[in-house]
Amino acid sequence: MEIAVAVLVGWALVSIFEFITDKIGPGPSPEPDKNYEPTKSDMQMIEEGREIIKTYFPDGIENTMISLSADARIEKIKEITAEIAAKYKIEVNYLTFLSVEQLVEKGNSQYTAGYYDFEQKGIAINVNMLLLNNGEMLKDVINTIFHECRHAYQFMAIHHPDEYPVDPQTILDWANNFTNYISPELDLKGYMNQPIEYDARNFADYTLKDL
Amino acid sequence: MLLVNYFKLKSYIKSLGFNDNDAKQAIKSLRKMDKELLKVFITWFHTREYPDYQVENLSFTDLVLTVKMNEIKAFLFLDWLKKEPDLAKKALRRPTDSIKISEETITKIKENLGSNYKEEVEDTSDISENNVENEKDTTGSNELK
Repeated sequence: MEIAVAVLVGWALVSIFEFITDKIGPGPSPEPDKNYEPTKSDMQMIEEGREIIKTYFPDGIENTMISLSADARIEKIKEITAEIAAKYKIEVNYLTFLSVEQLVEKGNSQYTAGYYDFEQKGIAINVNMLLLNNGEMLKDVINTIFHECRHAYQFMAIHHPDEYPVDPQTILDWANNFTNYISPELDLKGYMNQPIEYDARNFADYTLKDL
Repeated sequence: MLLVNYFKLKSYIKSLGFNDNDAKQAIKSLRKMDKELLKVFITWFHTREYPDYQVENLSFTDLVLTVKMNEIKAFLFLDWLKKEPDLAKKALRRPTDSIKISEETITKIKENLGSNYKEEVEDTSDISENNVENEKDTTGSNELK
């Protein structure tokens, strides 16, 4: 039932995506920033993530996802999230799939992929993106899972610095950023460039690079 | 002289559903906008009439009515598009994510940071066409030019 409703309101997401593509043209696959330098432990996590992707998407993310039914896509996301959480030693207590309308009700824009909830330790994913038969969008859903899991990792690292291999200055930068987070709904440039988003975006883009 | 009262602007942004920190961060960025665009922004704030303003082939109206940005985000995005078109367009293509974090959790993080907490001084001066901050100024000074 929820999925049926989500399909009906999915036109909003598609219309924004099509408008942007029409105005600025199709873009290349997301790539990590040229200046992004993962640490040795980040590289290990990235390699582990890439192995998970290769296992779950043997024909590539886009082909595998497009071939699956809606229920099977959701099941696949649940399985991959559980495996990432175990590998990265992070907490993901719930994984929920929200329609664009539900995301907007929670203060997000209509063009939102998902979020990480630090209070309940959960991830929300835009179900409209997941239901589209659009390879770029489906790949972005998997990217979002890694991105939100990285936020969970950042949060664990600032609370348990002795248990996570992150250098002290980075911990301080992340912790300060949590206290003055820049909302994507107000300042897209500030949002993209702040430490925790820069790190999460590049970590996920590096993990999915060329897969 | 065209200007916007800081507290009125902050109150407006908060009326859109954003918290105090969101509003402060947005105003900090608005101060750094291109001077010409800042004038357009100030005029819009007083009249609430959508400006006929376009950068590359994206107009203010496109961003608000079709891409569904709020007006503050649309102005800040046009500023970015004007200054760094390739990066701005690349960012626009991708859906964003966000984090949900409570004030209580933020307070705990500040307490844990102790003396390492970087408190930002709130600049409450008017936002004026004559005191645009120079974004390239890397001295960290909060003084307006």
